[in-house]
Amino acid sequence: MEKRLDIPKWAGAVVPIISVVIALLIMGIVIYFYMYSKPSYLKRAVFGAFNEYRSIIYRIPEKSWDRFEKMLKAGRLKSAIAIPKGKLSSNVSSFAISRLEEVFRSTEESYKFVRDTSETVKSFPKEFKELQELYENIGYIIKAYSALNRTINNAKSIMNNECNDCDLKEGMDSFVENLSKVGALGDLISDAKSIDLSDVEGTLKGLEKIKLEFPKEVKKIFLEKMAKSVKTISHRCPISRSSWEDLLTDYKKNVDDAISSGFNPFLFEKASVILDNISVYYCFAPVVRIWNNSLEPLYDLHKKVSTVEQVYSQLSSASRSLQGVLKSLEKGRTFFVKDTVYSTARYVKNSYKRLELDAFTASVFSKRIKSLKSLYQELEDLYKGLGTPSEMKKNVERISSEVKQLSGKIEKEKNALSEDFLKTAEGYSKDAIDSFAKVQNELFQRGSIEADLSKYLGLLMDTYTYKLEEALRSGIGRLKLSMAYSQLKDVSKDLTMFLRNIADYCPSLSDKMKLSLDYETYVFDMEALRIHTSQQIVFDSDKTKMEMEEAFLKEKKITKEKYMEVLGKTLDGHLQRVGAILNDLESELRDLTKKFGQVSKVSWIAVGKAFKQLSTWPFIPSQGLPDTINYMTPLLFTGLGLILVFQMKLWNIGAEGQFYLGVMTALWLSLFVFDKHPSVAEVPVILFVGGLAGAAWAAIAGALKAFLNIDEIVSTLMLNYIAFHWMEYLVYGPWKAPTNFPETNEIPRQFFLPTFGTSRVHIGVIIAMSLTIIVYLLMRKTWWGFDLRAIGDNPNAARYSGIDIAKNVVLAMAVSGFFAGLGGATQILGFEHKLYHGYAPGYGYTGIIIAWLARLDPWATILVSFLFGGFLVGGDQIQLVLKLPKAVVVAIEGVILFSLIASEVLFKYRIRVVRK
Amino acid sequence: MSSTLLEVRGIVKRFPGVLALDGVNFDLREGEVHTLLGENGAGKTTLMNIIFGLYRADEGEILFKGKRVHIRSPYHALQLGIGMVQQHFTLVPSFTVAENIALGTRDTPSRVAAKIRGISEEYGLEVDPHAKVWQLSVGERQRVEIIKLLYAGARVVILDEPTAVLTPQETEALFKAVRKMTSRGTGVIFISHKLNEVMEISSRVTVLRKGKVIGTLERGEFDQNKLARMMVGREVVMEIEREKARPGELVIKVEDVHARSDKGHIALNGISLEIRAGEILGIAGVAGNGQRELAEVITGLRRVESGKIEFLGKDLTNTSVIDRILAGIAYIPQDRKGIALSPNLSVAENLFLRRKEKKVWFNKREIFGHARRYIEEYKIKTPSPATAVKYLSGGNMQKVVIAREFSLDPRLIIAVHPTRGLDVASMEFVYRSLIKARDKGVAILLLAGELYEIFNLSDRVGVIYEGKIVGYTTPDPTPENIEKIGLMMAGVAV
Repeated sequence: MEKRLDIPKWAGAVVPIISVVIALLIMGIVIYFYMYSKPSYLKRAVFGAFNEYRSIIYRIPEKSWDRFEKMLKAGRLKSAIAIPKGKLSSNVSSFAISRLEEVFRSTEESYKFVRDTSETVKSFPKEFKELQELYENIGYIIKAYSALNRTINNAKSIMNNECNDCDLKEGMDSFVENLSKVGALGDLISDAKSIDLSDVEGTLKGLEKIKLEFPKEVKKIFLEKMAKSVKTISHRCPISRSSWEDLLTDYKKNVDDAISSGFNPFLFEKASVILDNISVYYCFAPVVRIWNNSLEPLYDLHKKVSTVEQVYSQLSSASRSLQGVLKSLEKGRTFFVKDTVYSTARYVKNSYKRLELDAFTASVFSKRIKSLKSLYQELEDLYKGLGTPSEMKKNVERISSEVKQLSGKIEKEKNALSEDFLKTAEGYSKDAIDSFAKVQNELFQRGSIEADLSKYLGLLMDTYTYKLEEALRSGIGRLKLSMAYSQLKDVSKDLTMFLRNIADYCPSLSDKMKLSLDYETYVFDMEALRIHTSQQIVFDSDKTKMEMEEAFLKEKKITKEKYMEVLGKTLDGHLQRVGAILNDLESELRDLTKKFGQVSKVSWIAVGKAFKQLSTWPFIPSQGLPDTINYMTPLLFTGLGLILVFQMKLWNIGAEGQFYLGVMTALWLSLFVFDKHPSVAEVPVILFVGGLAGAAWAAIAGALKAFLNIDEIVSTLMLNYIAFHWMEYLVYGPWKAPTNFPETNEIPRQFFLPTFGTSRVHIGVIIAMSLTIIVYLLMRKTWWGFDLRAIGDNPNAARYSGIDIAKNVVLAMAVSGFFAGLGGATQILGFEHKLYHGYAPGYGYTGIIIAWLARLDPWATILVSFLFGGFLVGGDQIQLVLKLPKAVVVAIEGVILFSLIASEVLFKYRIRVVRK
Repeated sequence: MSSTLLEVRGIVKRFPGVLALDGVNFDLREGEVHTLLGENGAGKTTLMNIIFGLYRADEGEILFKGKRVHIRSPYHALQLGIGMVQQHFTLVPSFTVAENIALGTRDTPSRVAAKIRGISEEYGLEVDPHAKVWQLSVGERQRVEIIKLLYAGARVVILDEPTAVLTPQETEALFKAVRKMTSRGTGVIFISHKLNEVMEISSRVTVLRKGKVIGTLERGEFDQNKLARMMVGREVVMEIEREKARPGELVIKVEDVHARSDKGHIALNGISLEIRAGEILGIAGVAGNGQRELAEVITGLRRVESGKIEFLGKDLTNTSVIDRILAGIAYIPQDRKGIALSPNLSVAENLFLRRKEKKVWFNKREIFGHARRYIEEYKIKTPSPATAVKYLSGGNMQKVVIAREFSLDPRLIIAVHPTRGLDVASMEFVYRSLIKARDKGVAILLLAGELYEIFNLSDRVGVIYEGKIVGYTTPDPTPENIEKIGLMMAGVAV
């Protein structure tokens, strides 16, 4: 027994609806995963970095533990057993964490950015819409002001830091005050008017001054410092005064030249070679090294000066933008025409973006300046006291004064006594200098480590942060992110090196990085320090050294217990700090993981936004509607031509190639035939001949089909390729414009199709619409159309009825090609205006889909091509708003189309549930 | 007497509206050639398709070697040992002979090739196992089909009109092979309506007519005349009132026309005929003897290779279809859906598919107006003129064709099987329409397979055989006349 449940025929319409819903669902999932994957990539990067850190840090305790083990085995250290792990907070970790924190902050900001942008526009009642838009515009302007504000603050801080005597402070303050007024009151127009633009100009002038003053000052400081150190050397160096003085003069000259020639790196190089010579022959290698190091910041400085120039020019352009904004605002107030407000908003939006960028550059710049400054400070400190740690200061000062006294003596005696006496004195000073050099060597090693470190870390971290921020800002591009990640890795490596250096070479000297040990507890005198620095050798090696060590301790009257205690504390400190680093890092990462939890929510909001963009943006006149109409026009042309041949079951796949023929012909006529005296009257001729070219192209395939029975699908498809490559040849070859790009010249202005008012929509859409009427008449109101239908339905019956199939095939193909060619010509005159390489918009292929979805009905073709145009515009919009790659958007479009076309087949059937 | 290989009892097969087989009994013994004789549509092929497992019988049973079998598919039939060479060959053209035969077996083509040589030699069926099938002639392909059956070990071989596509020499070779097969105990069922061949090869003959067995005759019991009578039968003539024809001027003259069929065979072999105004020339003949080509040659759908067609004194040879429509030649083709009508177009549009006037603008309202008039006049049953013609019944479709062709105001009507598939009422309508046209002075060429139709309508009867008119006779349904027609149809010169 069969039981049948017949579903009414109209229910078939459910099928395409369901399929589109499914397609949209798939699209949602695609977008969701895409959006989700972006932060998760970041997450991976951060965790990767964390793991790097951890491995670095674990490396130290392992080594230390080994040492402890050895010590225990040797029965030397009892207290080492009770080392507590991971309690004390460490400044190394805080340094690392502060870097990570920056990363986290940027990440959080990027979430905020995503979240903010994904907030859907609230649906206001119609009468409030305008008001809302106005509010939005005001918001943009306020943002623009605050961005400018930030920029100026940055500039101000630069001035404050580097140029204390600049008297711009007052002007700046008043300007900033005015800006905050704008933000606070929100009454945009009146307050904007009250802003004194001269303040901005003042700022710019100040900046210009910095630009001029800054390098000079740096040079001055540098030379002063160098002179000082040269002087110092002159007291100490055991060689004849004239020879090293010559060398130094040479060196100085080179540096001078280098600086005066705009920081010529080659001259610096030369100078440094000379210095190297000095260092080779004489004893002041550390000093030389510092000089060399101090030259590098000068290179940097040179770069930074150019950055200042950039900031300056950006700021000035920002100020011009602001002036423009103000003018626009005033205009908007005066006329208060809707259009003016829109354009103002757009303008402000753009300038806002630019300002934001400027602010960013400025902040990076200021960071750099600061680090440079601190470097100088250190350098200065070093020379002043040769000892930053207080405990060292005494020693150094003592030696320094000793040296000074000695040098003074030498100086006095040199003047008073004969050359023999001078020699004696110099011999005397050599001892003092030797001992000084030993200490200084240690200190300069330290100094150089510090300089290296702060340079490396500062630079790398800055670069990293910059890269990461840039990556986040630019929608977290994968490439950039991975760059940032590798930067982070580099930082990690450098940190490893650094820590290794400290641990292996000289743990006591890393005070600045706060990883070092407490000097007070173990440094008894200079010799003890030396022993400590060589303790690695002691641990690693043979008894003789241990014995030597013991002997040494004995000699110096240091008890073994005391020594061990010191060592134990040292290692203890290491381990405790390492543990603390790990703890801190782990808790930070835990927090971070929580933050990542929000990603899912943000991703869903993005999906909602995608839907909204796709369904509304293309159809709102102030947004995507003009684009939609411009997309629709060529689709309508090709679609119309295709329904004509498709209804006679003639599968013209070549509308694409016919379109190109129209494009080429229109260009040829515009650029090479009518170019002497272009006039509007020639526009119809160009369009018509473009159509004829398409018709001829299609007629080739039609004739092949009609007379040789060659499959028109294959021949039209092949003709597409020929047309495309022909066009490419012209673009690269004879028609190439004298520019760097493979493109043609623009057609004369007279040939541009008129547009509707000020919009981008050209009148091509009217031509296409009127062609729809013609197609309708041809298809439905002439016997020719009837004949074509008869051929399509039953060619045998058509032949039997005396219809000339061959003739009609050629003719119909030609008409179809005419439409596509006309579409191509219209596209050139109305939209593209020139041809460039790789121009393959695919309107011919999309036309096939249009014709099919319209079910070969001319009126439906208008609707379908309009919706399809909107669909394409919506796709572009999603791409822009969600920062999706084009491939994802194209894939989504494909899914939707596939569902539609597939459901078309199902639509022909009735759904029937049969139960047996 | 040798044992019975195959026996069918009381087979009944119904197709929608047709009783194709009505209680058919048939048997085949070992080593005999049993011929099935009958007109087109007598049920020969239907019966064979049932035996070969292509159709299922509605009633009746099949016994193979005394056992009752249900043949589910051709594959099953072949497994049992029943093979059939159909009119349309079932070979893969791009494969070699050996590969074709290896299909469906587990042998490799190379091993198959060796066996093929054995079979070829044994039965005198010469074929190169490594030749590609598309390179072979029709006769060779048939041989491949037979070898395929012998290779599969078929004990019953059915040959469905095997000689229709063969040259006399090939026919002779085929008969030799058939004799070899029977000498090895294979039973052969031979389908044909060429009486001389039947006389030559058959051990027994069973004559089918309209799905019924008229009789089975042993060799010696039958002669050509008897078989012809049995095949054609005594037709009941429908009483159609009509006056005697009054032939007028000469309308069409076909002179020594040669033409080829779609497959490139010679279909018209020097045919000549004349029809005058106001007369109906009925052409009898077994289907496939050039009827379709004759109609197409006259209507301009097919090119004439040589010869001449004169219409009302003008030479119309190889002019276009539209020229002949304008000249006044109407054509009612056999294939309504395939040729005469555009199935998806509306009734109204189909009524104007063939037309004389040359206009640019297609006025839907005007056309529908005319269409309504025709629908009323010809009593076409359709929901509306806008209904797609494919939704109409066969009779109404034919009415649409007739309405259109008559509206062309023709001087000559060519009607091919005009009543095929129609019910009695529609049939009568067609007959009356044709006679009415004749009485108006239209010349009519009636090409029909059914003799009664020819007897009912024709004023003269010609018989076509292998692309030639072999003789003329009167439309008298006397037994002698029927026998004469039957013999001419079967290619026996009278």
